[in-house]
Order: sequence, then structure tokens, then C-alpha cells
Amino acid sequence: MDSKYIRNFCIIAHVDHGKSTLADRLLEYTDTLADRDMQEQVLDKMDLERERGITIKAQAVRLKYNDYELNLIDTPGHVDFSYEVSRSLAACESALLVIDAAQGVEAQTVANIYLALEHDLEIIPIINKIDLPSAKPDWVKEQLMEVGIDPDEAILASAKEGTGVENILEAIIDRTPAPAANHQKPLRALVFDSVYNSYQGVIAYVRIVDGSIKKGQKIKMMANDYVYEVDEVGVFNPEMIEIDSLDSGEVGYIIAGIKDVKNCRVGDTVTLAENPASEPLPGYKKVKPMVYSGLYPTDNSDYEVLKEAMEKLQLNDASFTFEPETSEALGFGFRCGFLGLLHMEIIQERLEREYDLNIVVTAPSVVYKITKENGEELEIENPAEFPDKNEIEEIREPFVEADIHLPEEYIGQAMKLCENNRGIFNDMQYIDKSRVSLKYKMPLSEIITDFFNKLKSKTKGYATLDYEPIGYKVADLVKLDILVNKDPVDALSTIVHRDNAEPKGRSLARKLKELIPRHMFKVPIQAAIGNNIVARVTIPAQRKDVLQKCYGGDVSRKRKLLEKQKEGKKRMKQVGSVDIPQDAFMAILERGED
Amino acid sequence: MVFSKKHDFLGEITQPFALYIHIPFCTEKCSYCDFYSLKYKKKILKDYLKSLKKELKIYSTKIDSKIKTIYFGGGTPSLLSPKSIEEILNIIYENYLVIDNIEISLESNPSSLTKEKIIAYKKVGINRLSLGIQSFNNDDLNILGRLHDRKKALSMIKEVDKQFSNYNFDLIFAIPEQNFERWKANINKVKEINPPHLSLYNLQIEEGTMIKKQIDNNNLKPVTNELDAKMYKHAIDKLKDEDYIQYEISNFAKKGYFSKHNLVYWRYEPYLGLGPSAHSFTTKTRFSNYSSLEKYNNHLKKDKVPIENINSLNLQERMSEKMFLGLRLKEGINYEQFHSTFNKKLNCVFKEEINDLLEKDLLIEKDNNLKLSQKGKFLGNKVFIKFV
Repeated sequence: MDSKYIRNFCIIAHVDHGKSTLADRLLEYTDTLADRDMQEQVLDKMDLERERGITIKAQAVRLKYNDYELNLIDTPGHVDFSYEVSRSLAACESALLVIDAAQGVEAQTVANIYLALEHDLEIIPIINKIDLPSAKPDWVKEQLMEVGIDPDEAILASAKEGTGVENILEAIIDRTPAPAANHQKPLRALVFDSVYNSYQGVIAYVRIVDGSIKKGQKIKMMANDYVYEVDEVGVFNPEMIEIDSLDSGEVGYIIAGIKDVKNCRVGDTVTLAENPASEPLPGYKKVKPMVYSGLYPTDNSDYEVLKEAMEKLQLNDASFTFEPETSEALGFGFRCGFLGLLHMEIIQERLEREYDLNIVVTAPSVVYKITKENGEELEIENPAEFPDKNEIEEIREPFVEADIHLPEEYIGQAMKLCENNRGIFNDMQYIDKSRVSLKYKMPLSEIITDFFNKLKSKTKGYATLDYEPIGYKVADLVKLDILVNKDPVDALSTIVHRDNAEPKGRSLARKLKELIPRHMFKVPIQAAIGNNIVARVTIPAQRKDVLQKCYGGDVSRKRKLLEKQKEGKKRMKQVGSVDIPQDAFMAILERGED
Repeated sequence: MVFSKKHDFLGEITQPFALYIHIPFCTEKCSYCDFYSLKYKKKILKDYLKSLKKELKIYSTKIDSKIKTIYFGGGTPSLLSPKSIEEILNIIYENYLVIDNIEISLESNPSSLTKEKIIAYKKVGINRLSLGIQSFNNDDLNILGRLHDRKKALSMIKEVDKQFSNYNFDLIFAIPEQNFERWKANINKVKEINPPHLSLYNLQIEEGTMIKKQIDNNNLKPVTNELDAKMYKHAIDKLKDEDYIQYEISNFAKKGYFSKHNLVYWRYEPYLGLGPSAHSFTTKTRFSNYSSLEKYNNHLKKDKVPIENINSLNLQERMSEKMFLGLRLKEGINYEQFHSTFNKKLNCVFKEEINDLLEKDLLIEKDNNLKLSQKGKFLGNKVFIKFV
């Protein structure tokens, strides 16, 4: 295809502004999908994506409109996946910016605009949901002007009712720059996602930047120089359709007998083994897990099943890592690495749903660097493995620079929150006349608690957060241990700053008291630093637990109630003689009011 | 043909069975109730009675065993006139064999009783009356949404006591806001009245009920687990002093006044339940009727049995049910009887579970019987869940 007939675009939007519905309409309007194949959020293939209304994996689909070939790249939308998002955007020339006509410009809208501008994308603003009685398109236009978007360019639409879809398609063609045609240059294809399929191996989602690729050619992954032979190239329609070749400017897939997504990472550049490009495309990063937590089966006999399930998930997710570990309290399990908390929740939920496993996830931890008195250097990603404090010369923890965008009226609240989380003020700048960018240097460990939730609740959802690692800093940290029924539970240990240790110990003990059910005996819960008990609460013994009413012979109801109770018990982890529910291991994340 | 091959399980009733008749009508729904019930209306009741009579006749063609107890439960069975009760009983006598000295119970609400009605019920053949008293305290009664007050309760008990040698009343404890003193006063009142039978339940707060909403909105304070236990213990101790036998977790009676009907449930004997949402058990199969009165009526209009669910139990399920039902009884479960019923040895089938519970002092063994310990009575669910 002549590249002047190609348009590559993505859709960006604040949550719930109608991104998936608009994608559905574009597919329908261009007859990309037969009616019978149409379902809501058609590009979000995982049940989890549909339920949560989020996109986790990037998707691509080719739309035919008049003589044009339009490639829509659907991107994930969460800070955990910001690197993946940036690679998806790098594969496009324009972005449809969808704004709810009733809600107006919101936090994520502005963040999205900056992201799009950073990647030099043409922004096509779309004021969606104009069918709503509360729609105020003129007000939205004024807002657009304030954030530097020409309101005259905005297209009014209702993805739900299908109005404006044709205008949007025309705008995509008129305003999106055609991709640069570099047919003669050596092949450079940007991998913006990769998935594993047990029949074909890795399917690399690519944007061809320079040159072209076809079946039978030998390709080289520029990150590791591995060479593969191309079995198939094709496009998404949205199902995969094989074609002869992919040329400069096009979006499609490559299958080349790659057995592991780790060898075909997002952001990597594919070139030809003979006549390779001299430089890879810019922006490749090998994403490394930012947070680690332990995953344990609640039933120890599920260990092997869990292991196999994680191996399968990993085939599709190069940023998820795991290795075996043992906990005195929890038995055999795994230390797993994730990009962030959402990534962790997704993996946990997929393991429980798709593999029918009950698992316990311990509170996430960052990687601490420790220099021991004897000069030994350690990297600790599990608080339970912290050395004795007498052996420690110095502890360093990872810091990030947090960039918070928010309306100016919330500055005070946000600054207070950052400072309560050991943030160090760095910079403050006005983005426009009412929005501010706040920059703080903060320990990553503080960010991975419920910091973002707190920030959102303090700013009515208007704040957006982005962060990037800036290295390690020395910190005065101690290990906080939790004893349940007098026995230390290693999986509940956590690393905290010395100044916060006691209040955190107290609030954690109180929280555990709420979460751990009553037993037939009293269960004391203690928080300790070294040999020092800093907090103690007691869960009183359960005095009575018996179904009394006889329901006129309805034994099945009685049975169901008992089964429910038994099932609840099974989902808990038995530590010593105490049953600890899954969420207790996460209790450290939820803190009292900061 | 009313019955087809799929109803062959009715042949599993080979011993005298209990007959339960469900009257799903109430004048008002109580705040804690989550059962199927309908607002009482004369016309609806009339249609219902027509269906019920047909249902009685239909089953009599398939079941030959004798009836050993009859129980009118609800809902509010005392909304039925004595004449209606008489008509139903007549149909039973015309179509079924019944044992001698059959126990015939009727549940009643004090608010729907009068002295005349009590006398008339006795006259038509009811020989055991059960009263939903729930509390003698007006604040408790208010929270429960009952239509009667203390005065009405006491006067009706007085009349029932005059007419019936065998009667029961229900009391509820652990009612939100209830303090120990109120409960103590209720038990003192029991001692004074000295009824032959007493059922004591702690209030279960069910999803979707009015009372649950009020608790969630912090308008009512639920009682603590400690207080619930203290109230139960108080009742057990005081009633023992008055020669009541706690023959089941929630049931207390003087010697000779155990509810024969209730014992059928716990002893794993067959029962036939009629009326919408009623449950039945053949000793091998459980089945239940449509909950909706409309569906129930429509089936019977077409001469079809209004059964919605049939669940045939395998051996494992039957043994498990036997355990969590039988262990509710004072007598517990007899090793030999278990063996002769299931052709399996109790201490083989549930060896680990029993040993664990004996060790935790939740079960005791006595005279070839396995039963709940005193502690086990309070923590029965910890025992029961081992067997499901």
C-alpha cells in the first residue's frame, strides 16, 4: 500500500469518557466486523478488561475506509503501563482525544494531551456523548481553549448513538499526517506489544518505520541480536489475516518462531539480519519490575498448579517475574516482580479466575540495597530476609520523582500528603492558568501504598500521577514484625522509616484485628521492632457460632450456609492455629488518615 | 397421569412421615424475616386453599405410609379460620392413614388470635399450639416489627394455657439494642408461666431485611458476640433449674413434651411439605415446591405437582446431613444406628473430623453416642462445617 493512503492513530481518553464505545462504532461503520461478531468493548479481549472497563493489553485493528487503510491502536491506560503506552503512541501519527460532553476536561485528559504532544501526534479532539441531556459542548470547547487545543477543530459526536462517526473518519484522513515513506531504508519495525500463542509462538505487534518485511526473511531483534526466520506477516482485521509483506508506514504482526516474549520485548526494534539498520528506534527500555511481593497458594498442595499457571502468564508478560521462595508462615511460594500495584492485582485476579486458585499475596515491597558491617552488599526484595540490625552498616531505598498534575485549589492538600509520605519538594509550575505540576522526590515504597488513591480522593479525582526512578538514597529504615498468637509471621513483616515505625505498628495491629476473624481462643497481635513490642491488641475468643433457627425443613439452605462458612475458611491461610484472610496480608497498604 | 417416572422417588417414603403445611400469608412482614410470604387477602387465601386441597389429594395416590405429625407453619397459619383448618384436616383423614395420638401443631401470632379462636382450634383437632411471642418487652417487639405487645402476648398465653396441655412459644434473643436485663426478664417470665415447650433463637440478621438496613445505617446497634453467648448460657442454666430438657440446640421442653414434628427433621426421618416454597424429604431425596404462589396455583390447576427442585442425595451427602442435623440433638448420633442406616461405620467415615473435634472438646462420646459438648452447643457451626 502506498503510504500516502495509510493513517495510524490511537484513541486517548479519561476513564469512562467513551473510548471503547467509539472504537466499537468505528469498527462497525467501516464494516470491519460483521454484526454477529460485534460485542461491546470488542477490542478488550480479556473478561477482566471488560469488567473493569480498562484496557490492559494493547490491540491493533485495520479499518478500510474509502481508499484508505486506517490502523487503530488501542492502548492500555494506567501509570503501571506507561512505558507500553508510550510505545503504542510512538507507533501512531495522530490521537483521537475523547472528552465527555457532560464531564468536560478531566485530569487524565490533560495528561493525555501532554503525552500525545510528547510523541508529536496530531490531536483530533472529539466531544463525545452529546446525546446526554447534561451535555455542554460549548463549555467543553472553552476548556479546550484553555489547555491549548483549538476548539474549532473539535468534532461533536455520540459514540453511543453513532452520530459524528463519519466526520471522525474524515478527520482522521484529513488531519493525520501520512507516515513517512522510507521504503528504501533498511528495515526498522517498532514492537509495541507482543503476545504468546501456544500454536504460533510469539506474535509481535509492529509498526514498520523503515523498509519492509516479508515471509522467509531472516530478522534480528536489535535488543539482543537474536535472529529468527519470518513465518508469517499480516494485519489485524481484527482477527489476524496473513498478507505478503508489511511496508513502511504500516501496522501489523510478525510471527517468527520466537518462543518467549522476553526475546521480543515491547519497544524493541526488528531489523533484517542481512543489511541491518545501524541504529535501533529510540526509546527502548527493558522494563524491570518495580515492586515485589510473595504469592502463595492458600492450599499448599496447589504449589505446582500455581507454578504452571505463572509460567503460562509469563509467556505473555515479559515484565512479570517470579522465583521460588519459602516463608515460615506461608510455606512454599514465589517472590514475584510487577510493574506496579494494578499489574499485581491483575496477575492475582487472573491466577484466581483463569486457574481457579486461591492465593495469598503479601504486601508489595521495593528492592532495598544494604551494606553490611562486613562489607557485604545485599539486594533485598523480601522484608523477611532483612539482616539483623546489628549487621547493617547502611540501607538504601529506591526513590522516584513523582510528577503530580492537579488543579491549583488542591495544592495544599497534595503537598501535605506528599510530605506525610516522606516526599521532598522539588518544583512547582503552572501548566495553564489553573493547573499545576508538582514535583516531589519520594521513596518508591511510599508510592506503592495507597498513595495514589489518597491523592485522588483529596483532589476529587483530578490529580494525575506519573513517576520515574531516580536512584537510591540512604534512609533510616527498620523492619516491623508482626506476631500473631505470639509467633512472628514473616509474611507480615514490612520495612518502615524509623520515625513512623510505632504509629504504623499500631495502625497495622488495629487493622489486623478487624480483618482476622475471631477464633475459639484469644488471639493476641503484636507489632515489634527487634525485640521491642510497640503495639499489642487482642482479638477476643468467639463465644458463640451456631445456627439456631430451624427453617421448616429447609435443609439445603442450612447446608448452603455451612458450605459458605467452610468456603470462607478455605480461602484463608492457616498460620499456626490461626486462620488469616488474604486481605490481612495487604493490610499494610491501607493506612490511617495521613 | 399426575405422576411420571421422574416422581418415583416418592416411593422412598416407607415409614410414617411428618406432614408440613405452609401458610405463606402475613398481615405484615416482620423486620427480620427474609422468607417467602404474601400480604394476606381473603380472595388469595381462598384460591390457595383450593390448590392445597388438591395437592393433598394428589400425593395421597402415591404415598401409602401413615402420617405421624401434622404441622401448620408459616407465614401466619392462625390467619386461617378454624373452619378452614377443619376442612383441611378432613381431607387428610379422608385420604391418608394417620397414627394414633397424632400430634397436630399450629403456629400462631398472638395478634391474630382471640379467646374464641383458640377454643375453636382445639375443637377442630389442633392439639399443640405454637405462639410467636418473641419477647415480652415492647421495645424488642417494636424493633422486630411484631404486631402484638406484651399485654396481648400475656393474655393469649393465658388462654392457650387454659385450653392446651401441650403448647410452645418462641422467644428471640440477641435482638439489636437488647440488653441482658431485658433477656433476663423474659426468662423470668417463662419460669412464671412454665410452658411445656419453649423454642429460643438468637436473631440471625439476614441480607435484604429491614432490620439489616437499620443496622447498616447505624440506626440499630447489634448485640456483641459475648452478649449473645451470655444470653444463651443464661437461658440454658435457668431452664435446667426448672426441669426443662434442652433436647435440641434451640428447643427446650418438659419431659414428654418434645415436639414430635421437629424431631423428624433432626432424626433424618421423612416429611412431606405442602404449599408454596415447602420442602420435603424422603430419606434419600429432597424436593421443594415453587416459591411463587402463582406458579404453585397454576401447576395444581393443571393437575401437576408444583415441584420446582428435586435433589437426589448420594450416600456421602446423606451421611453428611445426618451428622449436622443429628448432632443438634441432645441424644446426638448413635454409632449403631448410623451403621444400620448407611451400612458404614461412623468412626471410619469421619475418623479425622471426629478425632479433631473430640480433641478440641467440641464433641463428646457417651454410651455409644456422639454428641456436642457444652462448648460445642455454643460453637455448633465449627462442628457442622467439618461434615459438609
